[in-house]
Amino acid sequence: MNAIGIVFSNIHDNELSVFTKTRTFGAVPFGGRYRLIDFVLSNMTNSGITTVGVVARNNYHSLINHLGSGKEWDLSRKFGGLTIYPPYSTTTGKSLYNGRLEALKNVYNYIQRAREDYVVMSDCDVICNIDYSDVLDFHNRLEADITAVYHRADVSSLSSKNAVTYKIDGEYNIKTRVGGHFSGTQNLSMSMWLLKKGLLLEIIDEAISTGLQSFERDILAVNPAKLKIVGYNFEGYAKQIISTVDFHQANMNLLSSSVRSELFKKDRPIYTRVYDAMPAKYEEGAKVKNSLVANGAVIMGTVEDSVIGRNVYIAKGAKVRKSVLMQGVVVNEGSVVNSALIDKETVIRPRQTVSGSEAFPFVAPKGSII
Amino acid sequence: MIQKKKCIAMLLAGGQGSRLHVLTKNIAKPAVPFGGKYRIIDFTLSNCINSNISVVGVLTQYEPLVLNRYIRNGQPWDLDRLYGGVYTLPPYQKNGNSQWYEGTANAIYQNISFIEQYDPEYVLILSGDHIYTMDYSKMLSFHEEKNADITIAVINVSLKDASRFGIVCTEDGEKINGFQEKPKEPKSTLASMGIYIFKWEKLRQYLIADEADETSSKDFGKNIIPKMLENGENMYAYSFEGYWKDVGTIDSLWEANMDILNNDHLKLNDPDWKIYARNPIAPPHYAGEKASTENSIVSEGSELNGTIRNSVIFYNVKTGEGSEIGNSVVMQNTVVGKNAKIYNAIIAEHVTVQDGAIIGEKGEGDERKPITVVGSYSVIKSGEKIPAGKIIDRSEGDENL
Repeated sequence: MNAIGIVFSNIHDNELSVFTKTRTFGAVPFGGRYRLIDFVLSNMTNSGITTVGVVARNNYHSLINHLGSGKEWDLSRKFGGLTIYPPYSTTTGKSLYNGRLEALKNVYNYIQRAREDYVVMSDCDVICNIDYSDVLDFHNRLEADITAVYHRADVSSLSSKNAVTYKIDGEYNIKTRVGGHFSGTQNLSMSMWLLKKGLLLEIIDEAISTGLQSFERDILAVNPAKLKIVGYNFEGYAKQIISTVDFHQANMNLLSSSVRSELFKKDRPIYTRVYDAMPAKYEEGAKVKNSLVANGAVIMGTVEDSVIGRNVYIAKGAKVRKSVLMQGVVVNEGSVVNSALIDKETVIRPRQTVSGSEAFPFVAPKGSII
Repeated sequence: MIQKKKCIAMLLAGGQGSRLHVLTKNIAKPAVPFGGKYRIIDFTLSNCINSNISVVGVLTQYEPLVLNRYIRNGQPWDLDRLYGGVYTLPPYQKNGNSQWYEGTANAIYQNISFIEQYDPEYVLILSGDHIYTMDYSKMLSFHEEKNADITIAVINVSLKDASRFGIVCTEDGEKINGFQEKPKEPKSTLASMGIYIFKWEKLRQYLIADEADETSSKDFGKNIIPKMLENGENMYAYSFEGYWKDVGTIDSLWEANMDILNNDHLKLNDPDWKIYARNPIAPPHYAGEKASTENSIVSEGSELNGTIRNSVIFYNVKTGEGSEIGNSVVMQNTVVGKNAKIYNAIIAEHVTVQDGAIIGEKGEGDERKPITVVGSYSVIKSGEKIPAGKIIDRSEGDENL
């Protein structure tokens, strides 16, 4: 595919602040064995994109650790491959960017040097399996300047004030709306855009000279250059993660076999870093129903409607329901975990109860002792 | 350029393993799947890297395609190295006399020039058909300490089993003064594990001399070791204590899989001694509303809807509602239909067990039924009943039963 990928790993940090204290948004564990960024990177690789720049802002150690050389996504390449861009301190002394356009300034040279003609930009906040080469075909067929990817979604429950939606104007042309109060089914931005490299460089130049920060607010919504901006309606499974409630739902959705078959396709798999854990072990007395269980887990207790991460230990008599347990969580004897999101390496002591609800999942930060 | 290595490993992986029948029909024994996500050779390769041995020559001959594709650049075992790493070494055509690997010693002889690239002081000879975890660096220290010409790793076996092995006799438990290859009347119970460390200079001499001897069968156990003993070389036995199992037969392969569930000595999750494997790309496994699983291991990508007891389930296995799997090994990509029953069996990869089929027999209590085996890509038809102990191969369509 004649495009490079630019992945923004931090843009939505504030929306999952409990999990992003120690890491970037893209490095938040998801679905038992993945990190959010795995979906974007796998989509790019599976679409035939072989040059991908990942822009990081802060707390990117866990991200770098996860990505390594990029070989697990087939992005360890002599030509192109994966490059991670932490903030670059210039003589102005200003190093951390505040918006997408500022972040793009950091990778200006990288984009300019690329031999490909197009750029696919994406955040890490949408769980989906999308083929960007279809988006490129669509873009060229419509002779568009910018193609924005969206999906039809009920936005009533969206908690973020910054949700980006598109209003269809004519057949494919769109008007971008940042925030605002909308309800019902809308055209929700999937934070993915495709455009020509040259145009993106012009936009960045313009942003540098006029001090613009937000791609969505200052470029798409205002559209000062009267560009042809069109919307690509992605019809497959897509789930936005804008809050811990969405995050919980997105994990729970994986328990549906139709969602799994749309996400984890044989010919378009989702890649992730390998940990060499042994297969999951079910001990005598284990009761596991309607759950996903990753390798390395050891289960002696009861698990229902949950996502159990790598190397999670669930002791005898423990009960876990409607919860997401990330890597290395220990639930000790007799404890009950209900509608909870438990970050990595948290220990739940014996005979404790942690309980949330679907509207307010209980959230435990990394390494807690409860 | 020569990058000198103190010790390199040569792994003999060319054997057919005919006692595994249909399981090695198209793949070499070291490539046979084991333990839910591994292949037999993973244990030896992981032992190498965990023991800091970073050059491993894997000698292949019988059906090497799967093994080659599996090992490839050695990356999963951290054996993709600037200097060294893992190499698969099939026999090759030479200027003059070309031949297959004729015996274990001949296989190493044919790769003398590979070994000399690294100018090693010691060469570790391994085979790829055992399940065990062992720190070869401790054995190497022992070998150096004793200034031995050869050190043979030995394990204590029962007198009853001793005649199946090469038996080592020692003066004081360490210095070797006798060796019997598969003796009818064993003089000791120290069995050779087929793991040798040689001083390379010494081994080289013996390989060249053995090659010139036309009466020799060019085998370490039958020729090289007896000859060294005869010549009074400095030979030592290194005692290994721990889990070690030859998985060369259907029964022992099944037992070793069951040992993962029931034997605390076979640990696959030791963080200090990981067993590496080329991992499948699959999501976590899914246990459905009607699934019930106990005392079993299950790998990623599987979808469970039936009952599983005391079994090893590989990746991307699907089991239907009402199905029962007990005391069995089910390898990757196999589909088990609704209400199908599998007891005391090894089901190879890509098998389809249709609804209601029954494979093997359930034993009463501790009674052990003969192991039933279904070869890869076989289809067991709906309602069909495969008796205990039967070996089925339908990889090329329906066989005449």
